[in-house]
This record gives sequence, C-alpha cells and structure tokens, in this order.
Amino acid sequence: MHTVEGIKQPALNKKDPLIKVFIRGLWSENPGLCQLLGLCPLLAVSNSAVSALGLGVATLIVVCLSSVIISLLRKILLREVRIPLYVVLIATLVTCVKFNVAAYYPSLYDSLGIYLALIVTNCIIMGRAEAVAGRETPLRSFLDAAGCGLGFVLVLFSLGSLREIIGNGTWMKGAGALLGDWAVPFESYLFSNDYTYLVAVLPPGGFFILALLIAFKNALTLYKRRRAENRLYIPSSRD
Amino acid sequence: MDTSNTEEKDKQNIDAQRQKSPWLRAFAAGLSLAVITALCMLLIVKSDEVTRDLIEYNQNEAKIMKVAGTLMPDVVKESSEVKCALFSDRRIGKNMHLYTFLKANSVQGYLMTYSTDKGYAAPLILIGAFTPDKTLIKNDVLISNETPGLGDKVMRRNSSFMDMFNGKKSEDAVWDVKKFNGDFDYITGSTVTSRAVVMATKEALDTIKDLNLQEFKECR
Repeated sequence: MHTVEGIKQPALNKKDPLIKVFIRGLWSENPGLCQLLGLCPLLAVSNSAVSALGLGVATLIVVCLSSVIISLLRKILLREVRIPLYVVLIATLVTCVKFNVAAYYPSLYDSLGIYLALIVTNCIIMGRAEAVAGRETPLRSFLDAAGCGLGFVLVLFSLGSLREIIGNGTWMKGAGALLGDWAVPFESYLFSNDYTYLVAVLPPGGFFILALLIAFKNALTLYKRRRAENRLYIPSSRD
Repeated sequence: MDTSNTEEKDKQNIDAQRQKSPWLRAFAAGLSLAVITALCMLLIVKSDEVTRDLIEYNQNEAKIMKVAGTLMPDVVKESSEVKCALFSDRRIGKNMHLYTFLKANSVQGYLMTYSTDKGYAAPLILIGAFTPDKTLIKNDVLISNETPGLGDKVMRRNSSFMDMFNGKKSEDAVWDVKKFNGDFDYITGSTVTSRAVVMATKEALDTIKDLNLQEFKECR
C-alpha cells in the first residue's frame, strides 16, 4: 500500500530478525537517499562536514528517544489523538536537545541556527513514530529508529564532506570545537580557494550533489539486483 | 492475510467502542493530551533551569569576544585559550571580569572590565585591553547610563575621545582633565563623565598591576 514513506509492507513481518530491522534504515530504506525525507535540513546545513555531523547526531538522539518513549506509551495512547501527542513529545525532546546544544556546544548552536529547532518538522521522526513505534516493542522501535537515524547521519556527513571539499577546499573545519581537542588533527586544508567550485556550498550545489548521491545508490542497487538475477549488466551499453 | 483480519477486527472493536460512549472517549482523549502536555512542560522547565546559566555565560562570552576583537584584534588572533577570572576590588568595583588571553601558556594580553561611581549615572562600566606588561592598548565603554548626546559622547561609537588613552601607563600622565590641572581633554558640557572615565582608567591601570590571578575564582 502506498504511503508518504513509500511502498509499505502490510505490517512488519514478525520474523524479521532484529539486525535486519537495524540495517534496513542504513541502506535499503535510507531516509535521505531512498525515502527522501528530511531534505530541508539535509540541504541547508550540509555545507560543512562538522555542522552536518552535529545536526545528524541531534536528529539521531531525538528519533531514538521519541521512538522509545512512544513505543512504551503505545498501549495507552488513544488512536484519535496520537498525532498531536507525537508532535508534543517530539517538540519537547527537540527543545531539551536545543537547550543542551546551546549550553555545551555554543559554536555548533550558532552554525545550525534555526535548523536545530526545525528537527521537530523532520518527517523522519514522525514517520518512524507512526510506522513503527506506535505498533512495535520498544527494542524493535529503538533499533529501527537507530538505523534510520544513523543512515541520515551518514548521508548528511557524506554530503557535507563532499560539499565542503569541493566548495571550500577544507574538511572538518571546526571539528575541535564540536568534538574536543582530539579532533583537531582532523581539520584539513586540502587546496586553496582558487581551485574550488563555490556553487558546491551554495544551495544549488546541495541539490546537484544529493542528486548524484541518489543516482549512485540507485545504480548500485540496480547492479546488485541484476547480478543477483544472473545477468551481467554492462553500464556502457546504456545511453 | 492474518494481519488484515486482525486489523479489520481492531477497527470493528474501536467502532463498537466509539458507538458505546463517544463523549467518554473524547473526554479521555482530551485528558490524555492535557496530561502528557503538562508532563512535557515540566520537562522543558527543568531542562531550562539546568542550562540557563550556562547559556547566559556563553552569550556573554560571545559578546566579550566581539569587544575584544575590536579592541585588540591581533591578540585575539594570536591566542588559543582564554581564561576568565571573577574578582572584586575596592577601586574598580564588585564582580569585575579579567580575561587572560594565552597562547601555549604564555600571556598574550588581558581584557578587564572596570566600573566607577563617579559618572553622572550608575552603572558606568568600562572595558580595557592590556598588554602582558599591563600597559593599556585601548579601552571602551561597555555599559553606561550617561546623558544621551552629552555624556555618552565618550563612547567609541560616538567619538574618538577615548583614543587619548591608547598605549598609556599609569605613571605616564596626571590622570585628571585639563580643567583640573590634569593632562586629559574633556568633552564640553560633560565634564563629570569625562573625568569619571579618566579616573576610572587610572584605577584600572593601578588595579591590574596589583592583581594576583591565582586567588580569583573562575567565572562560571
């Protein structure tokens, strides 16, 4: 049946092993490359690897906590008011995360701006709550949320890194402020601004590079499927 | 399929329940929404309590760093670490801050806030940038209630009055305005404020020489 998250199986097959529930969110149902959810923060803060990582981790924390809490409350929540309740819970969690980021990571807070508060509207969290957390046990909900959150972090980080390297010539600029002194050696200056494409850190570049990532993932999936069907697919035979 | 059958049954159950007592169900829905929202509000208030001081400190620090960037940009660029000390001195007031800018444990410069009650209206808090050997680089007014258009002309954003303090040491000059046999100019119509700024800066230069940094507490 078709839903906003894509073609949904009728229900989670109870025989799905827990590890598959986790891996699903990382690759085959990756929220950024497959479900195409949360694109607004994805494109807005991914112009540098460090702020992309920061927003990704904040989203991961919120989606895991909200899924677990909603799953714990699923038996007593009335179906009619479940969406407002999800919104209230998610907004509370995001507010608490926002306070903590403002207190302990002020430079990240400044670079994320309003996108930290916009995590409330991120469809990934609502989607996981509605599709999984409202029906499954806390453990499965947590693993599903962790998988989706980690998949989102990976896409954010790769997109942020690509955009920063191509558009700025640096990588992990600001890592020391976010992660601590041990991360300072990771801050790299790769090549000077004269050789960079500024468009990569501007909004259009975000769309272009994300499109290339999605195309790459689709190509990989297609190749694997064809190979599994015992047919050798030669890319050059395509236009 | 199995699941679609149970879903059908669930739907029928819920429909039956709804027929039985729709008002009770609506009331229960509203009540659960209210209860959960109240609990969430409590959580937010608690979280705010815990982090409010730290957030305020961060915002103050950002403001101070901006001021430092205008008063002593070279020092700020060179430094890798800033230490903050909170202290009180009879000469310059209570709860003043001293920021030490360090690079690999060697002092690059100081930034000190100092106040005076000799101004036209309290509070009058100034901020000064000092070299490692405690000479004044530049200073500015941080918080003032002086008369708009008259006394507030001393501020750097309104005039270059305070440029006459640049690079001064305590023993370089007689720290009073020319009207009272000092070495410093004053703004016509605001002798009180001009004098207050001159004398406060002298006190600051004297105080920073005597400060023993080890015995002050951390700002946070």
